[in-house]
Amino acid sequence: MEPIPLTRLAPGASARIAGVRSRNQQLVHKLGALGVLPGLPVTLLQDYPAYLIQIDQTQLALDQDTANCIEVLLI
Amino acid sequence: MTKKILIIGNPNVGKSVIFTELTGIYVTVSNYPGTTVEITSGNLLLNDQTIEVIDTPGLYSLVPITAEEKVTRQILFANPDCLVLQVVDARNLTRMLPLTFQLIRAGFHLVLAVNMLDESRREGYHLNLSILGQRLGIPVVGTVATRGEGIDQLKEVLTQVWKGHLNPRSAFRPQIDQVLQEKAQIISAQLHSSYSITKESLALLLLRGDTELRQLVQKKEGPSRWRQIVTHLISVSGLYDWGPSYQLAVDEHAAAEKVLVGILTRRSPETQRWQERLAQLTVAPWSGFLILLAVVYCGLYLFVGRFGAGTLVDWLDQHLFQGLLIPACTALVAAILPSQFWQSLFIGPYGIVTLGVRYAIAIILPIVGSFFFFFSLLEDSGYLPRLALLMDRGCKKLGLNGRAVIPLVLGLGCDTMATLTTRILETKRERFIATFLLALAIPCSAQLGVILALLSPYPGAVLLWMAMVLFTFILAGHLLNRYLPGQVPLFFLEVPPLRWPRLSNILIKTYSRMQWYFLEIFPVFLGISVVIWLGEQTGIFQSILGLFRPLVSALGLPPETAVAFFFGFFRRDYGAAGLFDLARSGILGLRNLVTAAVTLTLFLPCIAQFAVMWKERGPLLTLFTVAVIIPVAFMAGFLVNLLLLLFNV
Repeated sequence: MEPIPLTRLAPGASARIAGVRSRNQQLVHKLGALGVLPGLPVTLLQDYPAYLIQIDQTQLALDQDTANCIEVLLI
Repeated sequence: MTKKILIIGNPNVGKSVIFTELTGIYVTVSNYPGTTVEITSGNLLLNDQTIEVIDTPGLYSLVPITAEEKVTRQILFANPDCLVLQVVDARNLTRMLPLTFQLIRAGFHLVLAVNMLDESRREGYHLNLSILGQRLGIPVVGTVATRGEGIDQLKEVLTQVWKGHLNPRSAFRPQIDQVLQEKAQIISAQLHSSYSITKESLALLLLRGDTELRQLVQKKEGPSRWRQIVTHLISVSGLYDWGPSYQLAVDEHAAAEKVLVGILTRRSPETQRWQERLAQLTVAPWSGFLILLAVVYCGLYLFVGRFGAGTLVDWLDQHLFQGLLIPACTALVAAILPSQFWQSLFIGPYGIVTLGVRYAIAIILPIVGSFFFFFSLLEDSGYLPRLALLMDRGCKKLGLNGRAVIPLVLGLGCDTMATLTTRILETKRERFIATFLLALAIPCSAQLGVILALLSPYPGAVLLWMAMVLFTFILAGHLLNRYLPGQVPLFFLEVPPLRWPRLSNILIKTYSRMQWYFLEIFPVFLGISVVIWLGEQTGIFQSILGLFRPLVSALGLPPETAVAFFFGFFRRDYGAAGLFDLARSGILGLRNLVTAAVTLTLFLPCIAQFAVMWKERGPLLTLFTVAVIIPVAFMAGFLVNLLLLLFNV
C-alpha cells in the first residue's frame, strides 16, 4: 500500500505514520523529536482552522504545509 | 560533581513548578512551549549545603533548533560536572526517554523526575518506577509537582546522590542502527581534543547533522582530521530515507518502548473528563472562535477594561489619592517647604506626588496588574497554544505563524515585555514583523485600559477605534509580508491538555510580573515628573510643546493634548494616563477623544520598548520602524478626525 499525506485523511480517521518527507532537515528532525515516528498510530482530530493530530498522549497542531510532509498508511 | 542542579526537559512537563518547589523562589511557570525566555536560578538547601538550581527553557533533544533550545544546550555543555535533573511527563514517557538516553550517553550525572503522575493515573497508566530506575541505571523519582507530592523524596534522592550513596551516572546505551553505531565509533576515535561531553555522544550529534558542533569540532581538530571526519559524515547521509537524525529518533523511540516493556501498563482510562470535552471545543472551528471572542470580551473588556481600568482605578485615584494622600501630602509639603518653587516639584500640576506617584500607582498599576492576572490565567490553563492554533491562518497573512499570538497578546499587557518574547519566533523576518506590529498597532494594557474606560460610554467610538487600529495592524502586516524577502515559516506546536490553573500560582506569577513592571516604570515616572517640572520652570517645555501644537491642531485636538503625545514617548501608559486626566477635566469632546485614542495607540512606542527594540533588532530596523510609525499615526488620526467631522460628531 502506498503512503498518503496526512492531509488526505478525513477528520476523525486513524492511520499509521509512514514517515516525514521534506527537504527541510530541521523540520524532519523536529517532528521526530515531537514523536512523529514511523509505525505509530495517529488520529486526525480536526483539519480546520489548523490540523490537530494525536499520537499516543501528545496532541500536535500543524499547518497545511507541515501536515503535507507527514505520510501515513491507512490501517 | 559541582554544587549545581540543572533542570532539563521538554516544554510543558512542569520543570518550573519543580524548580519552585525545590528553591522556593518563584519563576514564570507556563503551559506554552518556550515562555521561560530568561534563565532563572535559585538556591536549594540540602544537608546544610547550598546548591544552585537553574531552570532552563524546554529542550526536545540534544540537537537544538530554536534559539531557546540552543541556550539550554549551551548551559548544559558549559556545566558538564553539574547534576542534571531531567523532568518528564509520565503520560508521554516513550517520547521523552530518548532525551534521557542522550543525556546518559553524553556522560551527565542524571536524576529523572517522572512528573504528572496524577494525570497519567487518570489516563489509566501504571508505572513501576523502581524497575525503570534499575533499567536506566540512574535514580528515578515520581512526582506530582503541582501538589508538592514526591518533592521530599526527590530531595532525599538528591542528598543520597551527593553523599555518594546513589550513582547518577549510567552505562546504559540504547540499541541503535548498526551502521551509525560503527560510524560513531570510528569518528570518536578521530576526536583528539577534549570536549565537555563524551566523544561517542559528540560523534552521534555530528552524525545527526548538528551544524554548531560541526564548526566547533572543525576548529578544535584542525583541517586534516576534520576532512577525515567529514568523509565519514557524508558516507551515511544517503543511507536513510529521512536522514540519519530521523533514523536515530526512530531507534531511540524503539529503545524507549523496550525499556518500558512490562513496567508501563494501561487499564482503560477513566471516563472523559469535562476538561477534555472543553479542550475539544476550544479548537473546533465554530466553538473555538466563539470561545475566543468570549475570552477576549470577558478577559480584556470586562475584567481589564471595566474592572481594572474602571472600578479599581476609580477607587484608588478618587478615594485613596485625591481624597486622602494628595491633600495630606499637600499639607505636609506646604508646612515643610515655604517656597512655591520647591512646593511645585512635589504637588504642582506636574509634581512628583500629584503626577508621578499617582499615575504609577493609581492609574497604571491596577490596569497592568489585572492584565497580568488575565494573561497568567491563559498561560496556566493551556489556552495559549490553542489560541495559536486558531490564529495560525490569520497570522500567515501577516507573515507570521500561530506562535506569534503569544508576543502579540502579551503586547496587550506590556509591549516592552512582548518585544523580548519575540525571541520565541524562529526566523529573523518573523521577529521583525512581530516587533514592528507591536510598536505600531498593539496598545499596551495601560493604553487599552484607559482608552476603553474613556470610550466605553460610546460603543460606536470603541468600534471605530478598534476598526482603525485593526485595519492599520492588518495593512502593515500584509505589506511587510509582501515586501520583505523570505518565507512564512511552518507552524507546528505541541498542544498541552487544558489544565485547571492553581490560584496561588497565578497570584504569585501576577505579582512577580507586576513587580518587574513596577520596578521598571516607577523610577521613570518619577524622572519624568522632574523633567517636566524642570522644563516648565525653565520654559523649555513650553517651546517643545509649541512644536507639537501644529500637529495636534491638525488633528483638531485642543493644544493641551500635546503634553500627552510628547510624554507618551517616555511611557506609552504615561501618555494614556495624561489623556485620561484631560478627558476627566472635560476638555476633550467625543471626536477629539476618538482621534487622540487612535493616534496615541499607533504613535511611538515608549522609551523602554524603544530601548529593547534597539537591543534586539538593531539600530537600523528600529529607526526604520520609528520613521514609518510617526507619519502613519498622524495620518490615521487625521483621517479619523476628518471622517468624524463629515458625520458631524
